[in-house]
Amino acid sequence: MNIKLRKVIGDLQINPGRMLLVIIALIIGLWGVGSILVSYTILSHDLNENFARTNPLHAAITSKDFNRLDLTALRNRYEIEKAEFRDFATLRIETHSDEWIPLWLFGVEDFNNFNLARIFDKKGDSRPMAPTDGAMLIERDGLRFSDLKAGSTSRIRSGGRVVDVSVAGISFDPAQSPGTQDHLIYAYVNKKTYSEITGEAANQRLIIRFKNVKSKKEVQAAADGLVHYFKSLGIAADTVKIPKFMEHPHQWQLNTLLFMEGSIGFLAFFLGAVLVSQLMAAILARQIRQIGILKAIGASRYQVFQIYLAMVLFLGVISGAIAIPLAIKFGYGYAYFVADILNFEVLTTSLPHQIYLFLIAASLLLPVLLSLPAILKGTRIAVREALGDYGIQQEAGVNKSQITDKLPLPRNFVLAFKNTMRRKKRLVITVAAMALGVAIFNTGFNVQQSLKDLLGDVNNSMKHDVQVVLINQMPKEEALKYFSGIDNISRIETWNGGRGGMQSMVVSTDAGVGIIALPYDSKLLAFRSTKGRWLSGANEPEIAMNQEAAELYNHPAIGTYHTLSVRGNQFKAKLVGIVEELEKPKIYMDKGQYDTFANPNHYINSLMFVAKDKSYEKVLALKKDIERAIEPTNLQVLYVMMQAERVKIIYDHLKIIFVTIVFFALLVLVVSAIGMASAMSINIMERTREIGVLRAIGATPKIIYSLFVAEGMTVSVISIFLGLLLSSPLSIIASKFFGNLMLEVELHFSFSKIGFAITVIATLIFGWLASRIPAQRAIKVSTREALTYE
Amino acid sequence: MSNLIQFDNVSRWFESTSVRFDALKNIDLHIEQEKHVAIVGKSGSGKSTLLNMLTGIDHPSTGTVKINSTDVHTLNESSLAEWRGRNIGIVFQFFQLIPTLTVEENILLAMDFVNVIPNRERTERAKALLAQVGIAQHADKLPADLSGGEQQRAAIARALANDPPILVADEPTGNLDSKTSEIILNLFTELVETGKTVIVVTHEKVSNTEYDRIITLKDGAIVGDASRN
Repeated sequence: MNIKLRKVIGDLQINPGRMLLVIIALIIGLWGVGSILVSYTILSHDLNENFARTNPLHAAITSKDFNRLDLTALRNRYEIEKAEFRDFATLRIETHSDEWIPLWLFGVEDFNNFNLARIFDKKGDSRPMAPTDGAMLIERDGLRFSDLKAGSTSRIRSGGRVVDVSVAGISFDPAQSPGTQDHLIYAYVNKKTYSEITGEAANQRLIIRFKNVKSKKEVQAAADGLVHYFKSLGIAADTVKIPKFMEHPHQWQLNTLLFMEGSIGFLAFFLGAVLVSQLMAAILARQIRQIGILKAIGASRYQVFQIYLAMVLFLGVISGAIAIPLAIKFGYGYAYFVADILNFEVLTTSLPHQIYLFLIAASLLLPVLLSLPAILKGTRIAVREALGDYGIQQEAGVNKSQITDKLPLPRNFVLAFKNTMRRKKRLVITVAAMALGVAIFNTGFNVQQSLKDLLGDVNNSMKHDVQVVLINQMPKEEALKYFSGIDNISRIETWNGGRGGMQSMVVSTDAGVGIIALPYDSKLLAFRSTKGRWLSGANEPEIAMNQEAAELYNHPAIGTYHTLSVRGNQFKAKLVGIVEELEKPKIYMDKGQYDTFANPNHYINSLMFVAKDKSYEKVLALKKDIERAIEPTNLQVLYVMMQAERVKIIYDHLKIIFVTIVFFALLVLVVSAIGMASAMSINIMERTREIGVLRAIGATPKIIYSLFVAEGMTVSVISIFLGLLLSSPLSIIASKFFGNLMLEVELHFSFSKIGFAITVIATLIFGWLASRIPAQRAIKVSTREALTYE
Repeated sequence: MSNLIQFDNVSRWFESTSVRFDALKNIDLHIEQEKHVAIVGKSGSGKSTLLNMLTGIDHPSTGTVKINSTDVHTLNESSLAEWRGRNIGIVFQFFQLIPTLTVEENILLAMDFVNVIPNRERTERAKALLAQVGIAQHADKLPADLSGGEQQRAAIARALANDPPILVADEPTGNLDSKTSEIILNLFTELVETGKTVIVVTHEKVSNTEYDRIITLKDGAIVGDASRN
């Protein structure tokens, strides 16, 4: 073997502990970069691919006149890529005994020939088996939170009827939001079964895919043209719905998760990089005299550089051999994890060659780049200087710390504090890395608290306990009569419209923006106005919007007038305020004014129940009583939902984000702590002879140990202080960012007391561990060995 | 015989913020080939500085240093490394062998750096050098497995790896007992007889029976220069 290579291997074996630390640091850095790359490659491709495989629709048009439509002729039109009938009804299905949740029922034109909005079998491999008459397929995500399974029989409420439908099999529909998160079931039946369940004729909803459209705007234009064509055929379109253009409904969640993984991966890389540079600097520092010898016996600077470059490349190869498979495994693992949450299949079975090449190049280049400053510095040193280096610098002119001298502190502590200040550059790097870890860890908790507070606001903003929303509007007295005998009702307020996207389909402007018409002075709402004020019951028609609706209307100014069209009735209303809420776009107006313009019969479709006893169990019992009251009636109910359930649905959307934030933040703290341990270890190594002197003048091993632990704890305390200071602005920025990214709501900064306590305790523990281990090693060296140490 | 080593009016000082320390003052020194020279003096006399000038490890503040027809003080670091490898073999007080390489590999490493000995001859030459210094049987051992005297002999063998004309030893017996020291000094005498010029820097007492010339330094200046006969 080449002698220089033998030297490299020999040097690596001298201090296996430190080499292991370098390798771990390199692995962390490579893992950080590699796993982001792998999971990003998989997820950004696969969610879109899953979605694209369904051949998503561009628009859905409903009409009762489609019996006049020649579908073949329509399909032959130049602008039409695909068209088929896919009926849709919002019903309710019993998931557990007496528990009913919304059901989206799709009537499929031909299970053997999907043109659009394809669904797949449970595994996503192929077309699903067509259900027989009277049976349905259930989307697989629904199995997670219901008693439904293949072969079972379910009860579906349709209007005033309850229909038993058997579950023929399980399907997979990657184009839908995950049922677990939106808390609803998707089911697929043939046309005959659809008509039997709903009591409606089939073929009243057409889904279309246009040719040559590249945006929602172009789809809108094409859809408008089609509606015009239908009109010419005597077909009146009832509704035209255009979803987000070629975007999965939960793309936002994927973006958030990818962003979080990316941030943390980058941080891991950054901290790993800091660690590697520090460690390599320490390794080179130990080699300075040898570098002097090598130069003295004839080695040029380049030859010396080659030796240490070889060392670094060797470390890179070892780290890469471990980190690359780890990154790929973690990247895939994270991808599967996200795919499970968002209900899509990981389709990427092998990564592009470029990924592997990049990872290999990174494993070789990264350590070289990170070590280059230390190697260049070390190999640049002149022979005389190198031969005079004993690794332990006596700092001339060390300033006396007058403050610590005057404080009534134990001398050991004062010594520990002064020792901490000796290597200022290393101290700054160690503290900075640790403080960053502390700041991010604490920020994780604060962001989590912000999200929890938001959920609290959501909970507190609505004071009702159970909401019943009807599909059709009806007289108030008729609706109320069914609930007169129920216990635990304090009062019932009647509105038009309600929460969520589904309810926007029932009461909305003709453009599809949901309307909620309620008494202007209702005590059941307690929104925070971000601009203007709430409704006042003035004579002039007034509206308030939530921030989502304000975005749709291009952020209108308070006081501006807007023309709303509801079932062809147009009226102008003044915008008096913008409110903040976690909700689809909604416009609020006084019910009296709404009735004047759009609801002359004063019909209602939303009943807001307020319970006397607001405990969870009692409200749940109330909900079940309401369900039982509805069952024998012919009321067509969209859904019955507890406010607590609504909050839970939002929480379920965010739960994964909560956990991921704190997990990744903890990872960052751990990496920072490893950095601190490494710095402590180097400090102690450099002062081995000094330790020998202390032992020689009477310091017991216990004193030496406590000295070093005190030094480590000093660094921890400084890091905690700085990190917590940093975490405040960081938390504000992170809260705002996550709020916008995830929820399109501005999250306000919240301070997490528990997070603060955990951060302080965890950092102190890590700091103690980081100093304890090297300190224990230091006291094991005998006095004689320490004094002769070079 | 021609002068192999020429110091002409060499001075070296070190300056800090408040004081200037003159390590060497106007040294004129000429050393011929194939001589066994001792440079003696107490601590702080300037011996180490003079040695550093000899080996190119340091440059004079003023004056010129010519060794084997090369103006050493004009060479840059890279050129010095190459020059040193070919012209000077250095023996250190604390041996300074590479601890992770065997004794034989330490010698081979020096040959690898300088590249004057053909590749196919290196191993044989290393073994021959070890035999010359009397430790051939330890070729495959690590330095830590050898005694002080054996390590110093290994260091001498390494210094001879590229067949330099000059051998410079800095306190070569400083860490050795008297018996071992005698072995080392005898080795140097043998090397002079083979045509090398050996310069030993030491603070110990020396006699003319051992050395051809004894140069005494005090406070940075040559205060004595005694030749045998």
